[in-house]
Amino acid sequence: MSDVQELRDLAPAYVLGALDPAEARDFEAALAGSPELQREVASYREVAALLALRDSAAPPAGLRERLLERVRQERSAEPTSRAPIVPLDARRQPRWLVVAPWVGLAASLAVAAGLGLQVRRLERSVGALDSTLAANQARLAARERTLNTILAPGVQLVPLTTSGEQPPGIQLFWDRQRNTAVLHAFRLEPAPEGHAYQLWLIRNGQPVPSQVFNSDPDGHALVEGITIPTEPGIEAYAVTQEPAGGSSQPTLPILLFGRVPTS
Amino acid sequence: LSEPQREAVELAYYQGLSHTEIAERLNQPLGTVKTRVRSAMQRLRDVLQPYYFEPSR
Repeated sequence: MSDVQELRDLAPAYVLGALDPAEARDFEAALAGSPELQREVASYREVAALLALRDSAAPPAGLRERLLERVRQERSAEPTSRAPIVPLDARRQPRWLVVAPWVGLAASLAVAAGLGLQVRRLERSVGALDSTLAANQARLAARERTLNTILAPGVQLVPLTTSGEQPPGIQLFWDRQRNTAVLHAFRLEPAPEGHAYQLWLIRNGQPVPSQVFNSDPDGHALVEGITIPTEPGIEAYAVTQEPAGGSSQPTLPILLFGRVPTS
Repeated sequence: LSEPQREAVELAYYQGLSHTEIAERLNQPLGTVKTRVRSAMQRLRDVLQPYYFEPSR
Protein backbone atom coordinates (compact mmCIF):
# COMPACT_ATOMS: atom_id res chain seq x y z
CA MET A 1 0.00 0.00 0.00
CA SER A 2 1.31 3.38 -0.93
CA ASP A 3 0.54 4.66 2.56
CA VAL A 4 3.22 2.43 4.04
CA GLN A 5 5.76 3.57 1.47
CA GLU A 6 4.92 7.19 2.17
CA LEU A 7 5.54 6.64 5.86
CA ARG A 8 8.81 4.88 5.17
CA ASP A 9 9.85 7.83 3.08
CA LEU A 10 9.34 10.11 6.06
CA ALA A 11 11.70 8.14 8.31
CA PRO A 12 14.94 9.93 7.36
CA ALA A 13 13.42 13.35 7.89
CA TYR A 14 11.85 12.19 11.15
CA VAL A 15 15.25 11.15 12.48
CA LEU A 16 16.69 14.54 11.51
CA GLY A 17 13.77 16.27 13.22
CA ALA A 18 12.83 17.86 9.91
CA LEU A 19 9.17 16.83 9.79
CA ASP A 20 6.58 19.50 10.25
CA PRO A 21 4.56 19.09 13.47
CA ALA A 22 1.48 17.53 11.87
CA GLU A 23 3.59 15.09 9.84
CA ALA A 24 5.61 14.21 12.94
CA ARG A 25 2.44 13.42 14.88
CA ASP A 26 1.11 11.17 12.13
CA PHE A 27 4.45 9.46 11.82
CA GLU A 28 4.78 8.82 15.53
CA ALA A 29 1.27 7.40 15.68
CA ALA A 30 2.17 4.93 12.93
CA LEU A 31 5.62 4.24 14.37
CA ALA A 32 4.28 2.91 17.65
CA GLY A 33 2.52 0.04 15.92
CA SER A 34 4.97 -0.78 13.16
CA PRO A 35 8.12 -2.83 13.79
CA GLU A 36 9.08 -2.19 10.17
CA LEU A 37 9.04 1.56 10.66
CA GLN A 38 10.91 1.16 13.93
CA ARG A 39 13.67 -0.73 12.11
CA GLU A 40 13.74 1.93 9.45
CA VAL A 41 14.09 4.67 12.05
CA ALA A 42 16.78 2.73 13.90
CA SER A 43 18.85 2.41 10.74
CA TYR A 44 18.67 6.12 10.02
CA ARG A 45 19.58 6.89 13.62
CA GLU A 46 22.82 5.04 12.97
CA VAL A 47 23.47 7.39 10.08
CA ALA A 48 22.59 10.41 12.21
CA ALA A 49 24.87 9.07 14.92
CA LEU A 50 27.75 9.17 12.50
CA LEU A 51 26.88 12.75 11.61
CA ALA A 52 26.86 13.53 15.32
CA LEU A 53 30.10 11.64 15.78
CA ARG A 54 28.98 10.49 19.22
CA ASP A 55 29.25 14.02 20.51
CA SER A 56 26.43 15.89 22.18
CA ALA A 57 24.57 17.81 19.55
CA ALA A 58 25.62 21.39 19.17
CA PRO A 59 22.95 24.06 19.40
CA PRO A 60 21.57 25.06 16.03
CA ALA A 61 22.84 28.35 14.70
CA GLY A 62 20.49 31.15 15.57
CA LEU A 63 19.22 29.63 18.79
CA ARG A 64 20.88 32.30 20.89
CA GLU A 65 19.47 35.07 18.72
CA ARG A 66 15.98 33.60 18.99
CA LEU A 67 16.29 33.42 22.77
CA LEU A 68 17.50 37.00 23.00
CA GLU A 69 14.64 38.09 20.79
CA ARG A 70 12.31 36.32 23.19
CA VAL A 71 13.89 38.20 26.07
CA ARG A 72 13.36 41.51 24.26
CA GLN A 73 9.73 40.69 23.61
CA GLU A 74 9.18 39.72 27.22
CA ARG A 75 10.86 42.86 28.44
CA SER A 76 8.69 45.08 26.28
CA ALA A 77 5.61 43.21 27.50
CA GLU A 78 6.61 44.20 31.06
CA PRO A 79 5.52 41.06 32.80
CA THR A 80 4.22 41.55 36.32
CA SER A 81 3.06 38.15 37.39
CA ARG A 82 5.40 35.70 39.00
CA ALA A 83 4.46 32.53 37.31
CA PRO A 84 5.77 29.30 38.74
CA ILE A 85 8.91 28.11 37.05
CA VAL A 86 8.35 25.23 34.74
CA PRO A 87 11.22 22.78 35.01
CA LEU A 88 12.85 22.61 31.61
CA ASP A 89 12.92 18.84 31.73
CA ALA A 90 9.17 18.64 32.06
CA ARG A 91 8.64 19.98 28.60
CA ARG A 92 11.25 18.03 26.76
CA GLN A 93 10.15 16.03 23.81
CA PRO A 94 12.05 12.79 23.43
CA ARG A 95 11.98 13.00 19.65
CA TRP A 96 14.18 16.06 19.66
CA LEU A 97 16.63 14.66 22.15
CA VAL A 98 17.82 12.02 19.77
CA VAL A 99 19.17 14.35 17.17
CA ALA A 100 19.10 17.85 18.59
CA PRO A 101 18.60 18.24 22.31
CA TRP A 102 18.97 21.95 21.89
CA VAL A 103 15.80 22.16 19.90
CA GLY A 104 13.99 20.63 22.86
CA LEU A 105 15.60 23.16 25.14
CA ALA A 106 14.55 26.00 22.89
CA ALA A 107 11.02 24.66 22.83
CA SER A 108 11.07 24.40 26.62
CA LEU A 109 12.26 27.94 27.00
CA ALA A 110 9.63 29.16 24.58
CA VAL A 111 6.93 27.40 26.60
CA ALA A 112 8.32 28.81 29.83
CA ALA A 113 8.37 32.28 28.35
CA GLY A 114 4.84 31.84 27.08
CA LEU A 115 3.79 31.14 30.65
CA GLY A 116 5.08 34.51 31.72
CA LEU A 117 8.36 33.50 33.26
CA GLN A 118 10.31 36.45 34.51
CA VAL A 119 12.65 38.13 32.09
CA ARG A 120 15.56 37.88 34.50
CA ARG A 121 15.24 34.15 34.76
CA LEU A 122 15.27 33.88 31.03
CA GLU A 123 18.31 36.10 30.86
CA ARG A 124 20.06 33.77 33.23
CA SER A 125 19.16 30.93 30.90
CA VAL A 126 20.72 32.85 28.06
CA GLY A 127 23.82 33.46 30.16
CA ALA A 128 24.12 29.78 30.95
CA LEU A 129 23.53 29.00 27.32
CA ASP A 130 26.28 31.42 26.31
CA SER A 131 28.91 29.51 28.20
CA THR A 132 27.64 26.22 26.84
CA LEU A 133 27.61 27.73 23.38
CA ALA A 134 31.21 28.82 23.71
CA ALA A 135 32.17 25.34 24.83
CA ASN A 136 30.38 23.87 21.85
CA GLN A 137 31.67 26.24 19.19
CA ALA A 138 34.97 24.48 18.72
CA ARG A 139 33.32 21.10 18.60
CA LEU A 140 30.79 22.32 16.09
CA ALA A 141 33.51 23.76 13.89
CA ALA A 142 35.45 20.52 14.10
CA ARG A 143 32.38 18.51 13.24
CA GLU A 144 31.61 20.65 10.26
CA ARG A 145 35.14 20.18 9.02
CA THR A 146 34.72 16.46 9.46
CA LEU A 147 31.41 16.47 7.67
CA ASN A 148 32.92 18.48 4.87
CA THR A 149 35.61 15.90 4.45
CA ILE A 150 33.23 12.97 4.63
CA LEU A 151 30.68 14.42 2.25
CA ALA A 152 32.93 16.27 -0.17
CA PRO A 153 32.75 15.23 -3.79
CA GLY A 154 35.53 12.84 -4.73
CA VAL A 155 35.98 11.44 -1.25
CA GLN A 156 36.80 7.78 -1.37
CA LEU A 157 35.66 5.45 1.38
CA VAL A 158 38.24 2.79 2.16
CA PRO A 159 36.86 0.16 4.54
CA LEU A 160 39.48 -1.58 6.69
CA THR A 161 38.28 -4.95 7.86
CA THR A 162 39.33 -8.11 9.58
CA SER A 163 37.76 -11.51 10.19
CA GLY A 164 35.84 -12.83 13.14
CA GLU A 165 32.45 -12.48 14.68
CA GLN A 166 31.52 -8.88 15.48
CA PRO A 167 34.89 -7.77 14.07
CA PRO A 168 36.22 -4.26 14.54
CA GLY A 169 36.15 -2.05 11.49
CA ILE A 170 37.52 1.23 10.25
CA GLN A 171 36.14 3.62 7.69
CA LEU A 172 38.76 5.82 6.11
CA PHE A 173 37.27 8.78 4.29
CA TRP A 174 40.05 9.80 1.95
CA ASP A 175 39.73 13.18 0.31
CA ARG A 176 42.02 12.67 -2.64
CA GLN A 177 41.75 16.25 -3.82
CA ARG A 178 42.89 17.75 -0.53
CA ASN A 179 45.13 14.86 0.50
CA THR A 180 43.49 14.51 3.87
CA ALA A 181 41.52 11.77 5.54
CA VAL A 182 39.16 11.16 8.43
CA LEU A 183 39.35 7.84 10.21
CA HIS A 184 36.35 6.37 12.02
CA ALA A 185 36.85 3.15 13.95
CA PHE A 186 34.16 1.06 15.62
CA ARG A 187 34.14 -2.05 17.84
CA LEU A 188 37.87 -1.49 18.26
CA GLU A 189 38.97 -2.25 21.81
CA PRO A 190 41.33 0.35 23.27
CA ALA A 191 44.97 -0.68 22.95
CA PRO A 192 46.53 -1.91 26.22
CA GLU A 193 48.47 0.42 28.51
CA GLY A 194 51.54 1.86 26.79
CA HIS A 195 50.29 0.92 23.33
CA ALA A 196 48.33 2.55 20.56
CA TYR A 197 47.09 1.82 17.08
CA GLN A 198 48.90 3.07 14.03
CA LEU A 199 47.65 3.62 10.51
CA TRP A 200 49.94 2.65 7.62
CA LEU A 201 49.72 3.49 3.97
CA ILE A 202 50.89 0.70 1.73
CA ARG A 203 52.59 2.42 -1.19
CA ASN A 204 54.19 0.34 -3.93
CA GLY A 205 54.25 -2.57 -1.51
CA GLN A 206 56.03 -0.64 1.25
CA PRO A 207 54.46 0.45 4.56
CA VAL A 208 54.58 4.19 5.21
CA PRO A 209 53.86 5.23 8.82
CA SER A 210 50.87 7.47 9.40
CA GLN A 211 48.61 8.51 12.26
CA VAL A 212 48.90 7.00 15.77
CA PHE A 213 45.57 6.80 17.59
CA ASN A 214 43.62 4.92 20.20
CA SER A 215 39.95 4.13 20.64
CA ASP A 216 37.59 5.17 23.41
CA PRO A 217 36.34 2.65 25.95
CA ASP A 218 33.19 2.32 23.83
CA GLY A 219 35.31 1.06 20.93
CA HIS A 220 35.03 4.15 18.77
CA ALA A 221 37.79 6.38 17.46
CA LEU A 222 37.55 9.44 15.31
CA VAL A 223 40.73 10.94 13.91
CA GLU A 224 40.46 14.04 11.79
CA GLY A 225 42.94 15.91 9.68
CA ILE A 226 45.15 12.98 8.71
CA THR A 227 47.57 14.14 6.03
CA ILE A 228 47.97 11.69 3.18
CA PRO A 229 51.10 12.03 0.99
CA THR A 230 50.41 13.23 -2.52
CA GLU A 231 52.68 10.70 -4.21
CA PRO A 232 50.77 8.15 -6.26
CA GLY A 233 50.91 4.43 -5.64
CA ILE A 234 48.92 4.05 -2.43
CA GLU A 235 47.40 0.60 -2.80
CA ALA A 236 46.04 -0.11 0.63
CA TYR A 237 45.76 0.96 4.24
CA ALA A 238 46.57 -1.13 7.31
CA VAL A 239 46.42 -0.80 11.08
CA THR A 240 48.75 -2.39 13.61
CA GLN A 241 49.29 -2.14 17.34
CA GLU A 242 52.46 -0.29 18.29
CA PRO A 243 54.15 1.24 21.32
CA ALA A 244 52.31 4.40 22.36
CA GLY A 245 54.62 6.69 20.39
CA GLY A 246 54.21 4.83 17.13
CA SER A 247 56.85 3.05 15.04
CA SER A 248 58.73 3.57 11.81
CA GLN A 249 58.20 -0.06 10.78
CA PRO A 250 54.98 -1.96 11.48
CA THR A 251 54.85 -4.53 14.26
CA LEU A 252 53.05 -7.57 12.88
CA PRO A 253 50.40 -8.83 12.75
CA ILE A 254 48.31 -6.46 10.70
CA LEU A 255 45.05 -6.05 12.59
CA LEU A 256 42.93 -4.38 9.96
CA PHE A 257 43.49 -4.07 6.24
CA GLY A 258 41.72 -2.34 3.40
CA ARG A 259 42.66 -2.22 -0.24
CA VAL A 260 41.98 1.03 -2.04
CA PRO A 261 39.12 0.32 -4.44
CA THR A 262 40.07 0.89 -8.04
CA SER A 263 37.40 2.81 -9.84
CA LEU B 1 26.13 13.47 -2.19
CA SER B 2 25.14 16.18 -4.59
CA GLU B 3 25.56 19.73 -3.39
CA PRO B 4 21.77 20.31 -3.02
CA GLN B 5 21.42 17.07 -1.03
CA ARG B 6 24.23 17.99 1.25
CA GLU B 7 22.84 21.46 1.79
CA ALA B 8 19.44 20.04 2.73
CA VAL B 9 20.91 17.63 5.27
CA GLU B 10 23.09 20.33 6.79
CA LEU B 11 20.16 22.68 7.21
CA ALA B 12 18.05 19.94 8.76
CA TYR B 13 20.75 18.50 10.96
CA TYR B 14 22.95 21.38 12.02
CA GLN B 15 20.41 24.17 11.96
CA GLY B 16 17.45 22.14 13.10
CA LEU B 17 15.17 23.37 10.31
CA SER B 18 12.04 21.55 9.21
CA HIS B 19 11.18 20.65 5.64
CA THR B 20 9.03 23.74 5.30
CA GLU B 21 11.69 26.02 6.76
CA ILE B 22 14.33 24.58 4.46
CA ALA B 23 12.05 25.08 1.47
CA GLU B 24 11.53 28.71 2.45
CA ARG B 25 15.23 29.27 3.10
CA LEU B 26 16.25 27.85 -0.25
CA ASN B 27 13.22 29.13 -2.12
CA GLN B 28 12.57 25.64 -3.44
CA PRO B 29 9.36 23.62 -3.69
CA LEU B 30 8.56 21.62 -0.56
CA GLY B 31 8.43 18.36 -2.50
CA THR B 32 11.91 18.96 -3.88
CA VAL B 33 13.33 19.53 -0.42
CA LYS B 34 11.65 16.41 0.94
CA THR B 35 13.12 14.35 -1.88
CA ARG B 36 16.59 15.77 -1.31
CA VAL B 37 16.59 15.05 2.41
CA ARG B 38 15.30 11.54 1.83
CA SER B 39 17.71 10.74 -1.00
CA ALA B 40 20.67 12.09 0.93
CA MET B 41 19.93 10.02 4.01
CA GLN B 42 19.27 6.93 1.91
CA ARG B 43 22.55 7.44 0.11
CA LEU B 44 24.44 7.85 3.38
CA ARG B 45 22.79 4.75 4.76
CA ASP B 46 23.62 2.72 1.67
CA VAL B 47 27.26 3.77 1.83
CA LEU B 48 27.66 3.23 5.55
CA GLN B 49 25.47 0.21 6.15
CA PRO B 50 27.89 -2.57 5.19
CA TYR B 51 30.56 -1.27 7.52
CA TYR B 52 28.84 0.49 10.31
CA PHE B 53 25.82 -1.57 11.20
CA GLU B 54 25.88 -4.65 13.36
CA PRO B 55 25.86 -7.83 11.28
CA SER B 56 22.56 -8.91 12.83
CA ARG B 57 20.72 -6.09 11.12
